[in-house]
Amino acid sequence: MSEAVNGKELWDEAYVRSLIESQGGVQKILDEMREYDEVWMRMQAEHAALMEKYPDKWVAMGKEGLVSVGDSMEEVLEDVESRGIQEEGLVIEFLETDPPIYIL
Amino acid sequence: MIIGRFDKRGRPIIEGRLLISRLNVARRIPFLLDTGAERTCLHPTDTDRMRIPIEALGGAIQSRGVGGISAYYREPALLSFDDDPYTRVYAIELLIADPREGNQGLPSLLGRDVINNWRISYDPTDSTLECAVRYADYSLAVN
Repeated sequence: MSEAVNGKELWDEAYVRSLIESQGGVQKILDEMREYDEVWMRMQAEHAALMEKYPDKWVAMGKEGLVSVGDSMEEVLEDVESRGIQEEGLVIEFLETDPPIYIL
Repeated sequence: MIIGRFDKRGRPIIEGRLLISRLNVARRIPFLLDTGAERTCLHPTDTDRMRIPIEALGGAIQSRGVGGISAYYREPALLSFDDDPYTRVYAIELLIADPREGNQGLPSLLGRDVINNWRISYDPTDSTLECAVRYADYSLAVN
């Protein structure tokens, strides 16, 4: 921590930049977030069809489309890991047919 | 502009990249934009995906919400957002929920500790969720 801004202690910017660099850098993070957005859009576009085909299942989608279906998130994660698929870029959703009402 | 979206249930979602350096974990998290939450918090679905070891967490606190009192752990974290050509970064004290039956499936929440730094245009009728950054702890441009 090096300075207080608006009453909050902050780290040195150089240290923060080094942490971001350790994650691949700003450009890589921006690229990954945009790529993830594209997969998310695809998931939304195919949501109704997936819901019909896999009601109350967990599904994982990547750039190439649907990659895994399972009864739990853990099952899906184990499946993609066992097949050597990079989990981080996947959009994973539970296709809940009777979702509860959330009041947060 | 940070661009959010509305999911199939109409929930306002902002994608952020969370980095917890002490635990050496990082990943993208779809946060529910929640002006009712004082603090940004992580709920079990995302905690599990980040493979955060609950036993390694400390600084337990209690929070009060519409679902009653819940236990959270406090953890320093960096939260970054895509705001072309910048990555906007906030240093936050993240709250990580102690997993229990009642909080399974809850979305992680983006609270006022972050969103009070933005001017937000919220229009579900037009699928528009845009956040103009008024302040960021760090604004990192592509080198």
